Amino acid sequence: MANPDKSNYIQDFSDYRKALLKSPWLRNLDIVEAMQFVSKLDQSRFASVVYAERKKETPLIQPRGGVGTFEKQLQLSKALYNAGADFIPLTIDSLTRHNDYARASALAEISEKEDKQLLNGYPLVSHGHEITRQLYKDIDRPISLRHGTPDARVLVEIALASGITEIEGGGLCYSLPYSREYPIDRALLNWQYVDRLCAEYSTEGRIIHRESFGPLTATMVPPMMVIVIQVLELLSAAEQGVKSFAVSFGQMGSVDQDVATAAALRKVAQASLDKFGFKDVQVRLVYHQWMGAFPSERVEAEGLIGIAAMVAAMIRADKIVTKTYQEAIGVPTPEANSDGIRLVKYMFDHFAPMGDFRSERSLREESLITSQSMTLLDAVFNMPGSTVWESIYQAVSKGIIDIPFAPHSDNNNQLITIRDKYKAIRILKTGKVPMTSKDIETEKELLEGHEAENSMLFKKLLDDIILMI
Amino acid sequence: MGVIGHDIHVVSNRIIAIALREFGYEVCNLGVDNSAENFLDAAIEFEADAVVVSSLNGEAEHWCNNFGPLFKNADKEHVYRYLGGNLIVGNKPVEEVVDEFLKFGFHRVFHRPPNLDILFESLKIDMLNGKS
Repeated sequence: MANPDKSNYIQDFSDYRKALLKSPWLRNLDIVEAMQFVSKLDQSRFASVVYAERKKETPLIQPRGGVGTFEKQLQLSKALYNAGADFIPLTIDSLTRHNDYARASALAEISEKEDKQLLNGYPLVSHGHEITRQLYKDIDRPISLRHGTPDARVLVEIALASGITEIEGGGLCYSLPYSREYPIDRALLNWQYVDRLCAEYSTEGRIIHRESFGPLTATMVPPMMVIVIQVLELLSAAEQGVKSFAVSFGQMGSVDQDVATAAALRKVAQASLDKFGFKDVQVRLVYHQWMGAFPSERVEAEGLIGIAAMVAAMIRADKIVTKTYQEAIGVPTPEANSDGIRLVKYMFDHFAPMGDFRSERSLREESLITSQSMTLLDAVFNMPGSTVWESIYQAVSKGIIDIPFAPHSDNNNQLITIRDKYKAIRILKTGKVPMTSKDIETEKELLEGHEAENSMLFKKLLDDIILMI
Repeated sequence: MGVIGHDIHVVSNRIIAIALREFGYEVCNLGVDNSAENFLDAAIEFEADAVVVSSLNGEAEHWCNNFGPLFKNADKEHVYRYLGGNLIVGNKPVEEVVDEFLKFGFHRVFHRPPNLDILFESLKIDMLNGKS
């Protein structure tokens, strides 16, 4: 067994980094210059500072967005800035996410020459840090890196050198839901490097901020699994010296369950940091609007975006990540993205903040989720291994960590969830995921009368997945 | 059963596996990202009566155009072969798409079916007939 501990800090980081810097994709990178650049960047560009100095009570707003060419990315960033986004996103293309920089570069070159869009995001490694700095020279808000990369070491080297101060991802949240084959142990070690690099770039008043991706597959993932993965990634980052970190989760379909999850996630995250002696880590909470299949009708999509904004305000999230009414169709236009921001702003300006509103069901849900999460976290730390990343790896291999509908071949796929009559996600079959008999009993009680309604599980699952359509 | 090609659409794959087991079939689920050869190898290894191939990203033609001959050459022509999902990019009459893919050596082809029932019904009929 292994507990999170500051001594798990990578000891020979500078040697490790020297080896990575030999990558041909990093040959233009002067790390001394890059670290100086970041240490002198205006404080308004730091996510950690913006979070710390937030005056308004409503969540900060972040859209998504990334395109292949410099000019189009510049236009998109300006449009999002003008629409009032508090964070400017940089979403990376899928070739770069799979470390296929050569192909991404070839397609980027054709895209630039022929003014075409052949990539589904911004190929940051291909463009490099020098040109990417130019994207943001007139922007006084933090830039957030959004991707899905099991090995993001090269990508994050370039992101930080570009002045991007918020790095999303983690060894589990960016491997199990995003890859079929990438070895989980390697993903965990790669993300140790990223965490440590973020700590190395952090200076007084200019802390690099990390964020984990809680929606995971966004398909029937029970709150306990989200919380445990968020907390494991928070603790792994804290081990490497990260001082500012956001845990996150996605809208699940039940307002009661979302409210309960937010409370449980905050509580378990802080309790875990305290327990293992990480005293000086700032934790933020991020809420993602519905990440599942979206309605294609504009009115319905905007209804969904509106209610998600409302929930984000209710749970006092520090940030909301927004969708657009074009979600069902494909990559949204900058105009649609700006409309999404305006809709969320309207909700925040007119309906938030509010007083206490907790329902009894939501309070019961919170204590259930908290208990399940603590049981699972303990089980992970009790797995074989001399450091936490080894225990986490064992927990995945043994099916103790099991994410519904994750494509990865190491995922156990035995944890089965369905919705109860209030649309909350309930655990029907635990698989190898450890749960106390009391919690299993509570799950059963909360499902009462609903399970039998549809005799075929697969039909019920289909209905539960396409809840919002 | 499984998803063919560089296609990571796993949700419907898992649902079909759960459904087939609920209907009482023994299921070997290859998951996502398979070649036609993977299906043949599994059919041989598990002595399958049927293979159910899904494709959702519109690249089915490239991966499926030699499916029938592959099974024939391995002396596995008797294995029922189903293909379904979103088989092409863009819009073309469903019947045309179905005809095109039937020629690649499938017994039944479902292009953008409204639900999964058509697969389960066909499978039931074909398996009953096959046994008689």
